[in-house]
Amino acid sequence: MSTRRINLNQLTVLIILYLIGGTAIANVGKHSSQDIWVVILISSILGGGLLILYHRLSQLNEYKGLPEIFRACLGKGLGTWVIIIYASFFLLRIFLLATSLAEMAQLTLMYGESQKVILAVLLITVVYCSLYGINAIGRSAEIFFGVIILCLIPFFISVFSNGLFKYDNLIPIFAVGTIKIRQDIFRTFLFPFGELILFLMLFQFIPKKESHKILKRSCIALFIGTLIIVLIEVMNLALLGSDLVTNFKYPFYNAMQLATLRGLIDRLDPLAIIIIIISGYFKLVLYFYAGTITIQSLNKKFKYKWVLLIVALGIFFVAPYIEYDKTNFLVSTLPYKIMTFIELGIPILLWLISEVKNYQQTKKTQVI
Amino acid sequence: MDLFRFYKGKKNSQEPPPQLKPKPLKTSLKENVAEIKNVLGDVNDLLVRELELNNGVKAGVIGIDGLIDSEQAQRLIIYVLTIELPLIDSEVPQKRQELFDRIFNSRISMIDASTGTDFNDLYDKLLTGQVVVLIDGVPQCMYFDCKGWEMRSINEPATEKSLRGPKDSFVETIRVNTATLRRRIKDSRLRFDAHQVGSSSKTDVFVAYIEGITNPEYVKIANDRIKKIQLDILLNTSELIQLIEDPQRTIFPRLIETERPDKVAAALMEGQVAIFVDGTPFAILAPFYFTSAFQSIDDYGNETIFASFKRIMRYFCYFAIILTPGFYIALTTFHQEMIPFSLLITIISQRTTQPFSTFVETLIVLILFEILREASLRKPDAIGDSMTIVGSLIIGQTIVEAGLVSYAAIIMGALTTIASFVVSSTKINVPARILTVCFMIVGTQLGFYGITLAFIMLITHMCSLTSFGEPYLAPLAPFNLQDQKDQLVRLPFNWMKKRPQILKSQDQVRHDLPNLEKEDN
Amino acid sequence: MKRILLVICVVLLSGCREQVGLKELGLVAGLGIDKIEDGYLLTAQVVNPNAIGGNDSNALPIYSVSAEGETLYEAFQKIDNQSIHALYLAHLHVIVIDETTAEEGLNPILDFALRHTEIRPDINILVAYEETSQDILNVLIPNDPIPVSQLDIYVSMVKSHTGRLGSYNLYDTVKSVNKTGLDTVLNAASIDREPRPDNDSEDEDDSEDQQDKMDVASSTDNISKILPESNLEIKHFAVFNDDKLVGYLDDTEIQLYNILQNKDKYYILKIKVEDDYYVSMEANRVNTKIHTQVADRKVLINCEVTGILTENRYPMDLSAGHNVEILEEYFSEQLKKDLLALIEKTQTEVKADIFRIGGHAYNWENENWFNVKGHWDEIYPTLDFEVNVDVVIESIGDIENLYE
Repeated sequence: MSTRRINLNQLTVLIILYLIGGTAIANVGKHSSQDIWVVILISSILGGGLLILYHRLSQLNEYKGLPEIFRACLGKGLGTWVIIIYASFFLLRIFLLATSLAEMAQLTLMYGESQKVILAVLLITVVYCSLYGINAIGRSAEIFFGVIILCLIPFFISVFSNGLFKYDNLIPIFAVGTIKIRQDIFRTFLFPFGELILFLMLFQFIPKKESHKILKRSCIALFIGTLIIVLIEVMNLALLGSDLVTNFKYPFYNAMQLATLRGLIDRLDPLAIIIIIISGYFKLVLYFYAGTITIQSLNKKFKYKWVLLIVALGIFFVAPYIEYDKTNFLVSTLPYKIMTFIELGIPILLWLISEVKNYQQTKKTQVI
Repeated sequence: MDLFRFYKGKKNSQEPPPQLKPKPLKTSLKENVAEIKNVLGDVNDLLVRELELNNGVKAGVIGIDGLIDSEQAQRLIIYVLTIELPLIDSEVPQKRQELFDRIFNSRISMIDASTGTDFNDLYDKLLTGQVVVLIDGVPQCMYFDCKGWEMRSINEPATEKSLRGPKDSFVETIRVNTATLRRRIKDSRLRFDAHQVGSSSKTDVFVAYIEGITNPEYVKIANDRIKKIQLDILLNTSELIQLIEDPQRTIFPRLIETERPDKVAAALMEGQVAIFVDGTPFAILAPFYFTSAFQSIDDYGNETIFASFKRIMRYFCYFAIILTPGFYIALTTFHQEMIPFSLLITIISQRTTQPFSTFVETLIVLILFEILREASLRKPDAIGDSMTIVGSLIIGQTIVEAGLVSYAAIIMGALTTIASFVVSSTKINVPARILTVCFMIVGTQLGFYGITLAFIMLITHMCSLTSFGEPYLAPLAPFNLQDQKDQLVRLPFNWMKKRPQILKSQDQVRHDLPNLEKEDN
Repeated sequence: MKRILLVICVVLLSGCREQVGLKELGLVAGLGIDKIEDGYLLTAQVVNPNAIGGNDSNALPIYSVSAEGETLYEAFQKIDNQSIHALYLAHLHVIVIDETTAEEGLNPILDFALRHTEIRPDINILVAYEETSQDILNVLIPNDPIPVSQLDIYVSMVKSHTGRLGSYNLYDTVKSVNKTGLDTVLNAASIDREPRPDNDSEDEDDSEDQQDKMDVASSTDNISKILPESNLEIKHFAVFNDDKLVGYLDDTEIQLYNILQNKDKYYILKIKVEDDYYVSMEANRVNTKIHTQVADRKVLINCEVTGILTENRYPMDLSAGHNVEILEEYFSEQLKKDLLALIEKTQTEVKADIFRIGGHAYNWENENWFNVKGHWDEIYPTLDFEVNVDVVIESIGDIENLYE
């Protein structure tokens, strides 16, 4: 594709899949047993604020991509360094996400396979699909969104028709204590919702005449994504109980094991796997794409194909050697201070700079 | 046949075709006739009739036997020239040119007539079935169209049968095809852009569209691509498809051909472009959407709910063909926990005596079914039934009882083959059969996980395809709510007020029928 | 570029791992855990598909392997080595535990079951009542080729309807064993033995007798009789405090337990009017509400039971409405008495909070619960229960009166 384009529907769906992708795997908010869903709700509201900030930042810079924004606001030298920081941030997230997906697949589905093979196939899929460009990724996102909704429906039907939903597991609210909840809110704010910074890279692909609708659509997407995540977490809690949800590694998978449509389809496990793999894959492929474009912007000679391949090979070969905290890695590998800085600090700084610039420009045009 | 000439043809498409030097006619009849006989060779289907008009002027009538309707040519040209002309014109103009003009303008009563002065033109026209009349002393010739050759009569379409639709189909002569189309669309805006493809075959290729409805982009793309083709002979539509498709490497067809005039008429009215090729009874429809392969004419003949059900069944069959053998292999190899207990026991108890693994036996069964299918295509009619019996006996009974293949594999193979007939009216089931084997390989190596990832790869690949610039999976991929009325389900006609938005036609409104449900009591 | 990737894909996938073919799969239908001196005796009941699928119908449909080990997983590895098939736990239906293990605690078994990704959550855990679990697994019963799966079907089908069994899945059990105030009741399986007809002297050695009976029970002789000598049944229900076995309920008490747990099933209530006439009804709707006031050590239980009259021997004219109300009152009184007796039993004999009073307090009165949580075991026997029962007979069946 010579022109890279997404339309608004595709952006919406990508945001939704992106949000589901992270949370379905990582057990977010698990320190606040029954109140996971409250934590997610509150942090999604905060995330909405963050989204508005990001959008404003992008809007002030005429929806250019992140690297261009860095260079415009911070100048070429410092901007390039910041781009490198963000590129490595993306690479680290890619690495963590890919290895955690591979590990989940190994534990639940392919018991006994070597993790290298699983990781390799995952990386091959992601590279293959990224070679087609963001157009194809966006279109396939629309289709897979439908697939995921289709997979969720039997789950809900089964839970309510078998009477598995135990309301008692959800109360009392706030029994855990507000300190833990506050901590978890902050963590959840950073982890699924803070990563929306990636979409700053994608806003540039929306046709200019529809740019004014981006904010509204992204907020709708955030809302729907949160709704789906909260529904899934509430189901997990109601079926399993707060202890098990805190202790299981992949509670959604376990909750799905309880669901059955007797007489029709006995076991509904594959649906959970499909949902987790597809949403995780979309997050991974978006990260790959964004990371590759960021690296590509450092030097004009870097070709898209080769950067992609090098990143994938790098991750594959480096994977066995990097130590990370295997129980909670998606959320806590980077110290929270660094993540705050990257996701919150720098964007706020850039926003202020862009506001000032914008103000100066409008003043100039008014004078003239 | 050289299979690579397509690629050669494409590479050369950047250079303009070589121009032939113009060769004007000579004045003397003898020299002209001698030249023609020289170039065409002394073939015995070249008919040359030398006449003498009523004042001693010599004239010549030339035509190719078999291509011309001799009866017409005799009655309307030779008869007129020899018998009637002296009766009408007692006086003959002195100047040969005047004689020529008078004969052409007022004497010969044929509707399709033209004149020419060039030999290259003459050969072209002679070889396409026109009659050439030469007058001694005039460096000009007359062409009259008396085409009349044997052709197949219009009968039922062989590939796309329909129960409730019309049963006529296209034939090999392009003129008859355009006439059949005109009988259905009596709109004055119907246009045919004519091209000739192939240096030796000079095959007529017409691009049909409706001006005012069709997006002019498509017409432009079609015309440009056809003009760029450089080939020696164009034999049938499939070759043309391969030459004008979007240049992406994939097993999915991005243009399909159809034999039915009603399908072409409906497509034209929606905003598509139809391309006719002389010599084949198929027409190409462009642009092609993947989901239009699942729409059949019978859908519009049945009522809504049944038609929608049938359509959903077709989608289901298509994906079942691709995914089921892979799933079965993956489940029995890797994920036995997902099979219900009693079914698992049945499968295991059958498998204990199997020599082959699940993958190999399913592959054997699929290959056997493919062989059976190919054999039944090519068999002479005389053998017919016995072949069926042999096939089913060998595959069905004997193999299973010998213990080579389990019942489950046979069931899988049979269902896959039968399901593939449901969508076999277009070429869309070819990629399905290839993909079946691919998913089987993935399933046996990487189980469910591999199948999910391979499915993701497949869908992304399909999303990246274009047909004449339009996304292949529209209206599902760039999701368009209004167009869904005719995709998975077929909603009543009253609801489909606009043409499909994906075809970007200039005139969106189809009709203005009121919704029947809103009638007052 | 993309073609190269696909080729790499195919090359990579030419697998390098051991794959267990279907033929080598040994489906474990039931696991039995017995406590021996220093460790566990694990018995696995493995399915032989040939016998069921029809290839070889003379063979027994199941066979049994056992091994000892200090930990459960060690024992499992040993039986895996012993059996000619690779044992596959994904279709495990039932885990049978013997009393000694249950008295020591359920936690090791639950840990094993949860960590193992193959074991699914809808299995049943049974306690072997006065038997070893090995014996329970070794009984062949005529109704199903796989006796343990019959047990499972019995438990799942029946438990969804009648109130005579406990119903729970693995996750519920896990939740219950570790929280105070949420104790659980598990089904206990036992073997029902017919006395042998030619054994009339009573001072036969008990153990030999037992062994003989086991021999008969675990062979096809048992299946080939119209009245099998031995059969599996669930007539007792094990009560746990935290994760340790403390006592048993019988099958009338389990109904009361289910009623108090507000489980939507069918219950049979019966009364004896004027010490002579039996009347029984089938209750199909239960609405129990428990209100706790832990600070005042009071619990109020309101129970509303609705059902239809199924059997009446009391010569009363049932077409008059107030007569039916009299019957309702009798039922209510009887039920209240029974419930109080059961509650008393759990407070004194079998010290376990099986009605989840603590759980209720945790959900609804969190702060008060927090105060008493530490010594709930001492507080529970001192709680003051007040039970109000209201039985409603919706319909008296097809006929009104049989007697004149």
